[in-house]
Amino acid sequence: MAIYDEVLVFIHAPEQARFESLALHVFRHQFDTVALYRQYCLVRGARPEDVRSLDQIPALSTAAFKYAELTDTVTPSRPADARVFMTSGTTAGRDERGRHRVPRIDIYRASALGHLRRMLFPDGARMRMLSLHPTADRMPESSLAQMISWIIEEFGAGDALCVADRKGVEIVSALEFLHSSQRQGQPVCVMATTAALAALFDEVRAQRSRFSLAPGSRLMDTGGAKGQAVPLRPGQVVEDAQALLGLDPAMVINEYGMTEMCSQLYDATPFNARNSRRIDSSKARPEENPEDRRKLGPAWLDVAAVDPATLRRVADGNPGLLRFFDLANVGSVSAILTGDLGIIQDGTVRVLGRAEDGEARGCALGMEQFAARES
Amino acid sequence: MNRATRPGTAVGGSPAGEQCAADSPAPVSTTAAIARVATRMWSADRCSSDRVAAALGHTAARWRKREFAPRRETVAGLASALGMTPALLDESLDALLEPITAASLKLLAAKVPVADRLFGFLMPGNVPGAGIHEVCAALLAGAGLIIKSASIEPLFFANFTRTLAEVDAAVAARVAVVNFGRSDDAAMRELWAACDGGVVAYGDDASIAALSAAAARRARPLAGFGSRLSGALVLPGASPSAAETAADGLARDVTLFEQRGCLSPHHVFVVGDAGEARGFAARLARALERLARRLPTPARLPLAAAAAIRGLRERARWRALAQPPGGGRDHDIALWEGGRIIHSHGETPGEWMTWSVIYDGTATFCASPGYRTVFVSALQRADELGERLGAAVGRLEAFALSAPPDARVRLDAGLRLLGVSYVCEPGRMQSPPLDWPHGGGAMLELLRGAAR
Repeated sequence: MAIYDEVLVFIHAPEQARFESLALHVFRHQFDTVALYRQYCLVRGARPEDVRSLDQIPALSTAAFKYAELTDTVTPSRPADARVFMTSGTTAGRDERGRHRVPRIDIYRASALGHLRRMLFPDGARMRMLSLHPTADRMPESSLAQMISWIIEEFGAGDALCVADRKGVEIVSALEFLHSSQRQGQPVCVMATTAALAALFDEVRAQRSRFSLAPGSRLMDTGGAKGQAVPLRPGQVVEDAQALLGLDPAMVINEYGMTEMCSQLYDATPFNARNSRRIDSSKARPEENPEDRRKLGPAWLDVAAVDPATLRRVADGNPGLLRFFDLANVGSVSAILTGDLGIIQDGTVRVLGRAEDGEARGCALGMEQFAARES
Repeated sequence: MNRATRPGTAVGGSPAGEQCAADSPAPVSTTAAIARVATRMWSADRCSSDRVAAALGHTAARWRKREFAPRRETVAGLASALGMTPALLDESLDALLEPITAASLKLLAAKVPVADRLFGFLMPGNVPGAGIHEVCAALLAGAGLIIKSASIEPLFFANFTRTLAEVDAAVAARVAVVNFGRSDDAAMRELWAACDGGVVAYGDDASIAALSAAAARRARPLAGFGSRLSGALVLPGASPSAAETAADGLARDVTLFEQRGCLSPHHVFVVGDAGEARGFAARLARALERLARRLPTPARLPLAAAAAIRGLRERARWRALAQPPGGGRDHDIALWEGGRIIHSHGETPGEWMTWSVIYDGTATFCASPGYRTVFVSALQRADELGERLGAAVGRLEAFALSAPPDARVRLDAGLRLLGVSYVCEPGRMQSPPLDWPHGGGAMLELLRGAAR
């Protein structure tokens, strides 16, 4: 069976005992088919014949996607099956957008929806959909937009509204949709970047309004502090969603994902932990304090925290840079080193935030202040 | 436990004074300790500037000897507290103390006004001994000093002052070293109240801004030394040996104090074409490697710094790896990394970071996360430097200048016009002269204000 199909089979029916051997197989495939990754592995002295475990596979920095084409250029694929996604960010004032070519979009779809089903729709519900981020037809280069479109297709029922495009978010339309859902007593799923959500909350407050959305309503936010002048804390999102939209805190679920990865992680809450086959509740107890929430990835994603200096895995409970091995990235590079700090505990992840800033220090300009001046 | 590390009490100063507070079996509140220090200092006789210069000169001379027991103990304590290696700390303290001689102290004494007031010092924790220039100036001016050492680095000034007390108890009676957290509001209030001459503070810009507001509320002057950046300008000499000397010197400047202070260079601009600048970056990398063998890096880097260095390295690596044939302006980049990939049988491969040189041909001034991470760029002409400073404009402290003698005077003057307070040869950045106008001469201004 071709490696792509092997991965797809695993996503549909994960067998944890097979993960590492499949990961090593995927690594061999990527070594053979992604030229610059092969070059990088050779610099690091990692040939497939010498790599015996997951931890020995060289992880590629997400920064690499800003500069290099990291995709399978050997395996024949139909253009219609492939998509190219771009990151939205800029780095140090340069307009450097990351580019991730996904040769088999069906694998991305299977990965995204498979884990979403467990984490955001474990009850099997279908409902009205409100997106505060553009959908794929409006922003085809956005992997988040693609995911939102799939969510609407797969889990939507009744009305669905997207109130965002490249220019911005129409908060007034979003509020009208929420009012209509409330009037009809129909649950709604709200999908938004954290920045768009902050704008929505501000407007609800400004109107001295408060929603009481129907039971079963839920919210997925993503992006964290990115793009926000005054960032919302994770706990604040949960508090505001409860106070302003009337949502049960367990139904407010933050997504952690990135363009460079076809799999995502979601907050473990009493809602999805109760219903998910994947979550061993004795190990991954959903935290009551939203600030301490932990995230769970799918069975086809290995997550580790590594020491940024040695790149070795740190012990559970210690902070490090988050490193993933995502089987769903089979068509590009699966071993990804992020710029995010986090703590792994019993297979769950507590994301601590971006690690780009150095510490500010007296008598020397801190990176943070410097960056602030530059922006 | 070293006495000087006990928090919350007055811990240094003359044997007859604050050591009693530290040794007292009964707990002494920080506020009471500061009040007592202030009272004692007001009653202490003022010494002549010659006597102060001689005492400080003798003290520094003792401390320049690596085998001097208080220095050895301090280095050991600092290594443990700051994570820097003893060899690195020794070399760094040598550089710091080098300019503090009896002769230079006498010369400085002639420049400072008499300021018979009490000054508070809020010391930084990132660079041990930073602030000693201002301490010397204040003592020479006849001032009394309450030095609040940083929580993370409570050793240097406490132990240095003890040696001063052994050399000349009367001079040391004008200094007390205390240690309390900046969040100790009562202690800070007492410090502000006691220090009629003003407060000298070192910290990040946000801390200095907060202290400025506090100073204004209390109508007390403040000399604030906030965040500053340093760099280097290199005109390759006629001979390879001149470039080698410059690279060796800059490697030392980058390495000392683990690049944690305002005098540590972040970015080196090389006047010449891309080939010359790249060549210099390679020389600098080799020099950093040689130095790293003699002055080892910390056993463990702070997480945030290590993560920042990792991010910079990976961006540079991939910009370099993804260079199209023929390169191009935006792809004129190269990375040299200190450290090695560790292969140990049966274990996951790992690596270690010792130093990083990022050559980015056309970059504007970049701030480094420290720990021996330096940027190198090319300048077609030296007078383009101002345009390439970017966000560092108005925040410069020191620049190393490597240039032929005929160009040196002009370039030195140009750098000072850009706001650089200290221009020196490569290798001398951590040894500014005693009369260095740190932060634009804020200390001298404070003393002048107090003298009126």
